[in-house]
Amino acid sequence: MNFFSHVKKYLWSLLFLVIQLSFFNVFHVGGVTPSLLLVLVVGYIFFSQQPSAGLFLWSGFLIDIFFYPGFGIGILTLIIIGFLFSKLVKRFLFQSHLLVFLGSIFLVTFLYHFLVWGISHGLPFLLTNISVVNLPSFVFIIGQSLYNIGIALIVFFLFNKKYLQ
Amino acid sequence: MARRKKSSYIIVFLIAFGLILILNWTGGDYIKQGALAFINPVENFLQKQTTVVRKNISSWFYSKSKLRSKVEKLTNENSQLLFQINKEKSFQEENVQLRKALGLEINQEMDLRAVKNIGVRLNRGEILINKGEDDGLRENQTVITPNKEIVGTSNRIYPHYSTVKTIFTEGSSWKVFVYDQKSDSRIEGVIRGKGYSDLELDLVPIQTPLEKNNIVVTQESSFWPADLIIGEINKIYLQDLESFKKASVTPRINLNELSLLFIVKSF
Repeated sequence: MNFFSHVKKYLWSLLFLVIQLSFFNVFHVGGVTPSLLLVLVVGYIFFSQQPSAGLFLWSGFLIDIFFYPGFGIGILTLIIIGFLFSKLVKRFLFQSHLLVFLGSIFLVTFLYHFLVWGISHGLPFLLTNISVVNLPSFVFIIGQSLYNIGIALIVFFLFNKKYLQ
Repeated sequence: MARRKKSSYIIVFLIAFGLILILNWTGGDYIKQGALAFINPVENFLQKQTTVVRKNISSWFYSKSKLRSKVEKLTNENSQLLFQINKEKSFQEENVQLRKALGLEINQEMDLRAVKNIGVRLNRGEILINKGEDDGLRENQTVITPNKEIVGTSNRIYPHYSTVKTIFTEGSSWKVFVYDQKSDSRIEGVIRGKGYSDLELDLVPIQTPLEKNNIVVTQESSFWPADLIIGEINKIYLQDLESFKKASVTPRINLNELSLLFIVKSF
C-alpha cells in the first residue's frame, strides 16, 4: 500500500468537510444540512476491509474544529460510533447491501445526536431532563437522517467497493 | 487474535482521551485558528459560487416557459459579468454600507466595529466573522447589520476569528417589544430561536392585541441596545388553556446573504 492510498481516506474526509461547509450551507432544506463526515465514516465501515480507527479519530477531530467548542465531542462520538458499528456490521449485518447501509445511516444519525447530547450535557442530565429532546430537535434529526440517506445513496453507488478497499 | 483486537481498541481510546486532554489543556485554539485560516478561503469561495448557481437554478425553474431560455441566457451572461466585477462591486457595496452606517444615526447611537461574515454553520445556527480577540472582540457583544437588524451575539472568540450565536440558535431567547403601527403601542414578549429561519414569539399576555405584520424589536439589555429589528409577526397561535400567546416570526435576516456586519462595542 503506497503513501497516497494510505492518506486517501483522510483527504476524502477533508473534501467531504469542505463540501458540507460550502455547498450544503446553500442547498439546505429548511436549515437542515446533512452530516457528510458521518456518512463517510459509516461508508468506510461498510465498504472497507479494515475500518480505520485513524479515520474515526480524524473525522471527529475535524467535526470538533469546525462545529463544537473545545475538543472531545466529535472525537468521542465518532470513535464510539465507529467501533460499535464496525463490530455490528462485521458480526450481524450484510456488508454492501444497499438497504442495510441506508437503514444504518438513519439509525446512526439518531445515535450521533444522542451521543453528542450525552457527551455535551452528561448522560445522567440527558436522561433526567429528557425534555431537552423536544419536537423541533426530533424533526431536525429526522430531516438530517433523510438528507444523510440521500447522500448515502450517492456514496453507495460512487464508492461501493471501488475506492474504499 | 480477539485479545489483540481488544487491546488495539483500548489503545485507540487511550490515544483519543490523551489527545482530547492535551488539546483542551493547551487551549487548542491555535489549531482551530490554523484550520479555519486554511479552510475558510476555500469554503467562502465555494459558498459564493454555490449561491450564484442556486440563484441561477431558481430563476431557471421559476421563469415562464416562453421567457425561460432568454432569461437563462441573460442570467448566465449576467453571472459571468458578475464574476468579473465581483471584487469591485463588493468593495463598492461595502463602502456604501459603511458610509450608511458610519455617517448616519446608527453610528451616533452606538460605537461600532465593521466585521465580515465569512462562514455559516447552519446546523448550529451560527456564523463565523473575520475579527477576533486581537481586534478587541469579546464574548457576548451584539452583531447587527447596517440596517439595524440584530444577527446575534459573539460567543467563541479566537485570535483572528469569532463565532456568532445568531437569533436562530436553539435555546436562545431575547426580550422583545412588538410594535403595533396602527395603535402606536408596544407589547412585551420573548423571542426564542427554533433552528434556522424559525423564530417563535412567546410570553405575550393573552389579553394583549397581537396582529400579523407587527414589527418585533429588541428590548434594551446589558448586551444589546433597544429597537434592533428582528422580524415581523407571521402567524398567531391561539391557545385557549394558556395564559400567554405565541406567534411565529418571519426574520428579516438571511444567514446566507449576510456580508458586512457590525459589532456593537458600546451603546
